[in-house]
Amino acid sequence: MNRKLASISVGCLLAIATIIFLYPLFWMILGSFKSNAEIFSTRIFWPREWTDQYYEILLSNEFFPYLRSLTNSITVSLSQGVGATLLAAMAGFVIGSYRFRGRIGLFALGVLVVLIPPQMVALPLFIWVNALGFFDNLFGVILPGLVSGMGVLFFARVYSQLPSDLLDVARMEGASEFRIFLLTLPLVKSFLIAFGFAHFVLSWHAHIIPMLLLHSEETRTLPISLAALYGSSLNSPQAVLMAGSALGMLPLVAVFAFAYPQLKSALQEFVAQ
Amino acid sequence: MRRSLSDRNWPSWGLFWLLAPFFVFLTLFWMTPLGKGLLLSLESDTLFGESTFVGWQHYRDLLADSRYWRAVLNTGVFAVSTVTITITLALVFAHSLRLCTRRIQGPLVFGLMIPGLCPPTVLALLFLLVFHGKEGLLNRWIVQPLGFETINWLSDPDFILSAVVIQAVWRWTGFLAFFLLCALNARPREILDAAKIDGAGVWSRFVNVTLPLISPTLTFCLIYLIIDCFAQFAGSYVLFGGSGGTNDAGLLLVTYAYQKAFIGGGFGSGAAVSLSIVPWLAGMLILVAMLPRQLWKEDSAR
Repeated sequence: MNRKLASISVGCLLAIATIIFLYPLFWMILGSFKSNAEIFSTRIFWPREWTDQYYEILLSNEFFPYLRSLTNSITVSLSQGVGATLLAAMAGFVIGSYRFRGRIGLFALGVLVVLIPPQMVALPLFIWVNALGFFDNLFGVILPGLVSGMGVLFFARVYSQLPSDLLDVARMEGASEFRIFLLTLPLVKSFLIAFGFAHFVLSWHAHIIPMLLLHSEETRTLPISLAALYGSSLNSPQAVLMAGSALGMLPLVAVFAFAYPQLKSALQEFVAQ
Repeated sequence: MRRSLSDRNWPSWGLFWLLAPFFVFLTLFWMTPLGKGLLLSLESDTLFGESTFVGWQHYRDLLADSRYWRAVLNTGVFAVSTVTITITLALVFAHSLRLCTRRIQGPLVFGLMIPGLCPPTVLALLFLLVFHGKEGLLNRWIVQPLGFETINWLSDPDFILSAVVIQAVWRWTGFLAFFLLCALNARPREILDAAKIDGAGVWSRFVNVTLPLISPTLTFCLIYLIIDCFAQFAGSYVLFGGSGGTNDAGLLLVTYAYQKAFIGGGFGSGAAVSLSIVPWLAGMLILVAMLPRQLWKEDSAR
């Protein structure tokens, strides 16, 4: 009985904490239906008059081509999420499930890549990608994002825990290395989805490199467009910003809801090892 | 057990082709920029025309640059306070979540993690209103009811950094709580029960049993957060519009590199600032990696 009471009270406290954590987001969503004057007054929580004109303004491209930015963001994040996961899984498979000379060296290199994140090489990367002719081109943002040191370390560990019997059998059947890799993919499915999701979100959040590289409104990703709109004038259209941010959260939440169960099982397995 | 595979003919081409794509991209988009950055940081700051080789001049200049040290200090304070607050909160949340029934645990974790999905730019826009001078949520709900004067979070040099910290804490706590919850669930039952039977109290069980058991996950969280803090740009960029805030009180290292390169036009010194982050970060991480071993050396020996 005592235990149950404790469980209920902890549950209530946590629910309050969750509401506090989500409050700014609720407020953003409600804010997208309010006028500027109302937004800055925290005393009014619920909009006095609901208006969806800001969504109309947003979608009418008055400030920036919203749907274009959103599509750009989805393109960039999706290709980075899928691409980085594949590359990291391939490299991690080799490092994790084979013993060979130079393996420790590769591992150390992975650690070094984690240590020097892209933000720190943003400036030379910007110059270099320009030299390659990818300025103002989505490829200039996507390609550098395919490298994930964290991913290689993650998959190296995942694969080093995978029972090797299956690999041995395939090996004896005469399957090629690449074929064996393909065979392992279903076994590590939840890890693939978990990492792909994390990378998707991180590339959606990326700021400095897209900001430097994507110049025209047509190529900008959503966070950059929103930040530019915010910075453009002192009298920035708050409600439109909120509408844009709220709509922009939808793909992320959708992907999260899809990946959540896999994320959970992958993490539980990963931590338990 | 793995020998059957390990003795095979390495280097085998099959393995080579599996590794190759990653390394092609690594060379193109990580090593090349890194090398270029190093060279750049040794050259003079000429935007147009030929730049000359100046050796370690930029690094020497940084050592004498008070703004640089300000940025180092700010980044350090930002990282340490973000990490401390986030990890503590996440541990509390994770422990509390374990007490809840499974049915409400799921939605709570899901809800707590949603702030982590929020892009830093959107987050900063939101928090501009949370931190707003008079009417902001923090002032209206916490500062004023406690009887303090309203704080202008984004322009008062004493509070600017805490605005960036609060924002980072809000973003990461849920995710880390989720990670730690999984680690807590993975603790072997027998060890916990044994400690209970031995009469260890709640606190002593936490310090002597739980912490060592979850320390791999904890270390991972720490490392992840620290790297994120050192590479922090988007949040402070939007909050302060690319500046360091009043009196540079919110100037972070990446922002400083950006300012030097793109506002000051000094690509060489900008690259030097970016690269100088690496030793700071590495030092911090080595400290973190050593810490648990020092703390729990005796326990694991027991």
